[in-house]
Amino acid sequence: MTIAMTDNDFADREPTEVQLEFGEFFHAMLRDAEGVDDMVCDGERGLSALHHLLILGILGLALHGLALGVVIHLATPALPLSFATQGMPLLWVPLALVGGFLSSIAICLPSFYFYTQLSGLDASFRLVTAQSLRVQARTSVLLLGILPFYLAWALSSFLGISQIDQVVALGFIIPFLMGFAGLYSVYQSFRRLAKKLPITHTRRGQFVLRLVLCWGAVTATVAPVAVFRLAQTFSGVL
Amino acid sequence: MSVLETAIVYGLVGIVVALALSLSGGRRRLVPAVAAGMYHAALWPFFAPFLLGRAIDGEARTGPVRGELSGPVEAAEARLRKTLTRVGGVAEEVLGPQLETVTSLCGSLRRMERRRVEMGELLESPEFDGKEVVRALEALEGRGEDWRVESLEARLRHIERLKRMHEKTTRNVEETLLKLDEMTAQIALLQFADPGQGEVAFHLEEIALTIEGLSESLLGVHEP
Repeated sequence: MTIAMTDNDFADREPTEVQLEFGEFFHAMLRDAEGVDDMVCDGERGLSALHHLLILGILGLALHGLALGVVIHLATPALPLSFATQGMPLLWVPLALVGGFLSSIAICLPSFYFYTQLSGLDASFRLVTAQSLRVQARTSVLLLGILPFYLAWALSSFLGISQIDQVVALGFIIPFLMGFAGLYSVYQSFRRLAKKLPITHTRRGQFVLRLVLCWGAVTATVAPVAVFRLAQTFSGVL
Repeated sequence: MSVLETAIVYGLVGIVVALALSLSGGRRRLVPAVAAGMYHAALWPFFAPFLLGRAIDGEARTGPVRGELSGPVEAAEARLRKTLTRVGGVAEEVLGPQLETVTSLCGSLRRMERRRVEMGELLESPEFDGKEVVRALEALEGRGEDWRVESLEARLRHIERLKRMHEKTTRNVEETLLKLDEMTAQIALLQFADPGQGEVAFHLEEIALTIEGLSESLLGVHEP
């Protein structure tokens, strides 16, 4: 069998080599495109990619937090945590979510780097930083996607169709659940990068999966505590 | 350590990182610079690795690091940047926006060079040994519509196509490098140009044309 190939086929294979605008970057993250790998690996475009990842990560969490804050503000649910209805939820919920998730990533960065090195992948600290923010950016994109459904469900609770306590509780849990999608994205990315990055020592099969599970485990330990502590603090101040 | 003390330490480190990033990032207007500084200071844990990485990339690197190539493209880019640092005043203000284009072009050029190297490596592999395929074809000569002959002929066509692409990419890289050096020389001339005689404007026009030529050359490669 002969496969017809033209010179253009090879030229088209090269991912986009120009800097992506924020809108294009958003679409790339939505599709979980491979082009993002090239951006985060590139020394020159890496910083631009980091800005986009950070802004995207903050945007999704902040909007979700705002929606959750509005729900708490309007409904004043009876939650087991006393501080949850204090202060101005409109302000402290987005701040607690954004601050909690970003600070947990920042705290875990050295661990991420160690795990990556231990897995045998010789990834730079810059790449590890960008990849960790990729988890958050992907999570945020999906959070933006489910926000309309969440708001519709929240509205139904005002009509007595669903329980407001459940709506609020799930609102806090959703970013963590969406985090699995973010981890899957970074898992796929590391699988692709494993073919390009230098391997310092060969590991047994599925080492990328174990690496990403370690990332997830350490973040899952730190993030809830960070969000809880910040929510407790901000609800008393704001 | 209380929350306040932690915040103070965090803020101080953030200011240092923001200042370092500001110094390494080139000139900016006051308001964007302050906004960027506050953004960098607030989220410094994510920017600090880029700051450290940049220092290593710029100074201490002596050979290919983590899949990046160190060759004529890097040398040409280094010469251009060095020349640009020597030129100040009006020329720097005018060339400022063009510099981003040049940076992007150099990135594309590096990737083109990397692709050229990969193609070369592929052509040296046994699977892409044209002579071997020709020998196999000669051995099967006279068998007419044999499927093995068809397969070998198709393989030979692919090898020829890859060779053409390799030659074309090599030519494009060389041409672009020459243009890059030409532009470096033009920028170097700006230091000695007489601003009163319109020489600066003339050289700037020449440089802009060179950049346009470079863009067209690279676009010609990507969109043949």
